[in-house]
Amino acid sequence: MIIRSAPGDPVQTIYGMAPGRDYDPRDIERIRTSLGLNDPIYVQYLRWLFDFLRGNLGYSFKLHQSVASMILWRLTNTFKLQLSALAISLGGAITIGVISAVKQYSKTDKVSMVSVLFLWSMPGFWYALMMMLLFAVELRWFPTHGITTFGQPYSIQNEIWHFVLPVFVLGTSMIGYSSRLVRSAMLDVLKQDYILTARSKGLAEKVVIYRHAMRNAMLPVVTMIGLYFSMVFSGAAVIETVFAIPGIGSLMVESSLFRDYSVIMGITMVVTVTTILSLLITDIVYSFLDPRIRF
Amino acid sequence: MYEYAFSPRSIWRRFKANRLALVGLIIASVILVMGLLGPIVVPYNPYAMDFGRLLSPNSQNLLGTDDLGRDVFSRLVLGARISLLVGLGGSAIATSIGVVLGAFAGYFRGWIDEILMRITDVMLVIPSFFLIILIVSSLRMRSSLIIMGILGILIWPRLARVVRSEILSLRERDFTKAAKAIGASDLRIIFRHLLPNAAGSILVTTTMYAAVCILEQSTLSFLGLGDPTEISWGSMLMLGRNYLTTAWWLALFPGVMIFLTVLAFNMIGDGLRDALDPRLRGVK
Repeated sequence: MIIRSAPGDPVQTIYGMAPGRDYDPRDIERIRTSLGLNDPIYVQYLRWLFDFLRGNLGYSFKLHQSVASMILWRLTNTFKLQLSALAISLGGAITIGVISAVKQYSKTDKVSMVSVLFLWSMPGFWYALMMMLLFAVELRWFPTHGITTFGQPYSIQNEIWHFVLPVFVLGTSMIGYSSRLVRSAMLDVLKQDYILTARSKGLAEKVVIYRHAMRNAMLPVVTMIGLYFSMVFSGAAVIETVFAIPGIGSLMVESSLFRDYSVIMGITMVVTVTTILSLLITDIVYSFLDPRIRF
Repeated sequence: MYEYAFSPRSIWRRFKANRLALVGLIIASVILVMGLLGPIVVPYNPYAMDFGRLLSPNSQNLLGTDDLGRDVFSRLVLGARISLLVGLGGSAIATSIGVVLGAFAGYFRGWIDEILMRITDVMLVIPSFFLIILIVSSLRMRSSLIIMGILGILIWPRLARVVRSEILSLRERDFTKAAKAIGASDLRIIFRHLLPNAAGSILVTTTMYAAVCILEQSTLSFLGLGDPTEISWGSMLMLGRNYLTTAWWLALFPGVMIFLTVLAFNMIGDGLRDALDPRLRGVK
């Protein structure tokens, strides 16, 4: 099933609301006027839109930094975290999903599906806290927060060392959902006639599974990756807050707590663009993988 | 008359045979009882600062005390109320919206279907948790009831799709034609003939929604976006985070409660789905 996005619509839904919302009436009038907050909402929105088209996202009310540079820096952190986590969860999910689909109803299948259900039900932030308690606080193997050690010169090893725990937590917590998806996709494919044909041709079981079945089962997985990118920031909000990683998600939480509108607007824009792009790419990849799908 | 795909009794029989689903049902019932009888059964006043600060679990305070000397166990029991309220309430709201819109789209088709499904598509694409953070942080008064409403209003699209596709196939069946032939109105056909037949898949999604709402509510409180006046597991966890190095029990137990509740609802949902359609075992 292809989710057709209506581009523009999410943009308008979110933007139409964001500028008009929650201007704190207690704000000092002078500051409001200087920031242009006293203008009607549509004037603010239009001004923001024109600025945006010129590549100017404005300045943060609170931190007095350019929103664009703030977001860019934090975006790289978020992507480092998310992409490595995605790699872990995909690897794990495909392995678990394929194995339990091939050996449906076996002990392995049952055990892995129950443990996956556990992972799936785990509140992400709690899981993160508990891993932190175990590996960072008790065992002291990894640092508890940040992306570099404060006061030390930058080094790659140091940064990787900081990322290990959050990436592991995020990656494993996503296995829950995705491995169930892989398993059901595999089960679906294994029931198809061409698998029967492949088997009756006398092909080795390995070839049947890896060549014929897995390839076709990857379609829903691609959809999942696409959807994953549209949800990246939501998931990131929690993990980044817990591990104090300066990323988009934690920036979002902070700026919405401080009502830093220009930052919120900027992030919303980034999120929307990423979402639409990822859905677009998903659709394109989909039609490559399955020539039957035409647009 | 209704044409149930399976009789409720046979569904229950299959549900019972599923050990995981039964465990889930038991956990959920225990938590429900906790929520209902909370104030009566707690050993201490959850608001009273009667004990020493940050006492580790002992015979008097089973799960220790928090930074203000309040009994963690009593607070956990009372916390069940918010989670259940938001979970069940939110999923009820989402279910009603999803069922009605999905049924209308599937039954009337044409432009109604087109409009409703485009709205659904847009809602599915929007990163909902992000939107929730935005909306909730802009609220002046963050009561759990409002959060419950927002969650309910934002998460219905998936169900609307499920219901729509069920109705699309059910409306072509003979009993629908029969109902039409005897002059039943559209609304009567939808609510008396079609929806009862789709009840199974609706119920599965509703249980899953409850799990989602509980998870999101506790995440919100954890991020400091919950109702500050209420006792909730998420806000207890937020507090526990500050004392991770000194008082592990503050972070451990509320998380266990959220985990168990969400797990229970997911197990029930899984069990229900397997009971309704044995072909779909373990499918998401």
